[in-house]
Amino acid sequence: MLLQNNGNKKTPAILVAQSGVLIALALVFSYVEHIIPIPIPVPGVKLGLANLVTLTGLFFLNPLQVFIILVSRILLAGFMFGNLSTIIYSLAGGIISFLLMYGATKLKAFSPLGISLLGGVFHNLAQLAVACLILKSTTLLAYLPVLMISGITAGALIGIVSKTVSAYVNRRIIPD
Amino acid sequence: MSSHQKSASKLLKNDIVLLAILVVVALILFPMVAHSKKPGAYALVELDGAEYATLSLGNDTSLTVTTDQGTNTIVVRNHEVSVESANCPDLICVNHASISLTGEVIVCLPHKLVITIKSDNPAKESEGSIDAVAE
Amino acid sequence: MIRKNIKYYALAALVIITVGVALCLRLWGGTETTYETSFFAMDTYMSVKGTGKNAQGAVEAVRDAVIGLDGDLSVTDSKSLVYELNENGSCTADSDMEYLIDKSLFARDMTGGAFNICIYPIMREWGFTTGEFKVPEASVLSALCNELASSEVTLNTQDKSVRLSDGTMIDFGGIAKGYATKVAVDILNGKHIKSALINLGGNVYALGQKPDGSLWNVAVKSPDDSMKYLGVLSISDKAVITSGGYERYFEEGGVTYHHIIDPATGYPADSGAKSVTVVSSDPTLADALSTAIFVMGRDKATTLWRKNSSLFDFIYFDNSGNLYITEGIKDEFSSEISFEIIEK
Repeated sequence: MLLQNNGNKKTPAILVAQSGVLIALALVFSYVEHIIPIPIPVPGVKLGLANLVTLTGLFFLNPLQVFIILVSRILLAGFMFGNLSTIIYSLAGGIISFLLMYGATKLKAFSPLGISLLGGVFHNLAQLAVACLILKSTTLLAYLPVLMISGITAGALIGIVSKTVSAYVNRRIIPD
Repeated sequence: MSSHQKSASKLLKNDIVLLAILVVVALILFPMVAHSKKPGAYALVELDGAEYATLSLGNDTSLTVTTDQGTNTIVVRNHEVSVESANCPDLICVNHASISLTGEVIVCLPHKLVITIKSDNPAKESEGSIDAVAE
Repeated sequence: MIRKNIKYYALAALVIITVGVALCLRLWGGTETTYETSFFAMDTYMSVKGTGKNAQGAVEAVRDAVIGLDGDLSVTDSKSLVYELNENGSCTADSDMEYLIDKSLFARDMTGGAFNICIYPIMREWGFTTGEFKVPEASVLSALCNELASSEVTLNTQDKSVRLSDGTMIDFGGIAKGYATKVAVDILNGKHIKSALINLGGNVYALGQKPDGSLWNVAVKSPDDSMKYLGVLSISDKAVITSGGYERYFEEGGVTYHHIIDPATGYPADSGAKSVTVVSSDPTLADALSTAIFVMGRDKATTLWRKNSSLFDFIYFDNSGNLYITEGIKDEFSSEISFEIIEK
């Protein structure tokens, strides 16, 4: 009942509670990533676990709700264990990738795998673009290929997990 | 259910195409963006987009840069540049391998610090430069 | 059904992780670096600079090898094989000594005896080996020269045994640095270093091209104070080795005696040469030839070169200030002073 696709059956209270839980979940993912370092010394290479929430959310929830969850999580994570520049880069990456993923779901041309690929890659591209703007230099573009590959890899992984989770949600919860 | 499965495989096909395109683009970009194999002559240190210092690779030195963003200690040793220590949260700059070839870069995003290896003007690097003297 | 799919997904995930990480590391790792080291060996200062995937490992391997070689070839160190050979008149050669003896005999025959490792007793008599310089008695030198003329070094290729004829003592000093260079080059090639510059106490070897693709510029030092260089060579995969009396000499009674002894006379070579530089892809041979040509003089050297122009080229600067180079390096050599090209 909690995750029904038609939003009109939900009361504001339910929406808030639901969103709260999902923000918390995304925050935990974000924090776990923050603690566990990845051996590749390129800024921006990360798994993007929190995107699991965003992506899966896009399949079952109102996109606006998902967007609010996303932005809230970014802001909270930034205040809790990041800083101003973390917030700026995350917002840039998060918003761009969200828009692309949302567009992709509307297109109905890709499975969660493909949508996540888009999300992952463009998250990194957006962050790189912002970095170039802030540092007022194009030297950083040297990282482009590595960031694309890592975006593809992370995106693929998250997409696969999301597909599994979605299937589970579809079976176990929706038929309710 | 079977119609769901049919469109599922079509979706998957699109996914694979997308994946292939993205990987190809990344691989094409790689050589375009790869740095040259020339050993550099000096390291250009930029803060917030503005030139802050230049360090010749020929002399071993250590430079500590402190701004309101934070501190980084840059070291030149054996014609290579590395960031020995920093107080940024991700320490990516510190973990980065040392750089020495023209075009290579170390970046500290939180501190808005960019270190680029550059070579001298091609005009200066003419035939006149002697590499060794036989005696 | 989800259980089955999970296995499929897990496998796919594993493949993707591996490929992704591998690609990232491949794109990011494996960069070429330049590593340079300097050290003291064979009584002189040496430096090796290499560029490649494992430049540091390769360069340090070279350094260790050269320092090791120094000990092995020493005439004075009682632990060295050469010392044993000189003491006992025989020994079993290791691969280094085998190569050196082969090359030395080849150079001796090629140059008509102008290069001869058996010159050690004469060098010792002059004090060049100990630093206690003196001008020997003419009769002593004459006797030593006769002995030198009949000196023989025999190497048995089957059991690698070496025998010296009576009274013979050898010193690889005139060829050691060249050999060390060869060893260094072999190590660098073995470790896939495509670009390097070796400078063993003034014996230079330019391996491959500079990292930016241009040729190495090696200058030849001038023996005169009046100018810095005799000229500059732009080369790749060549050794540049210079010999000159000015490198080591002493004065007695107003006369200058330098260290390049003519085996035929027992006295410092007086062929008119002031500085000889040999350019060759064989550093060991180049080392031997630079000494030999200094002894032989320009005419004999020219004859020698015309017979072996594929093996080496040379630059000859004489006491009158004239500069000559052989035709083989005319495209590589440039100079601020005029020079004459020796043609085939």
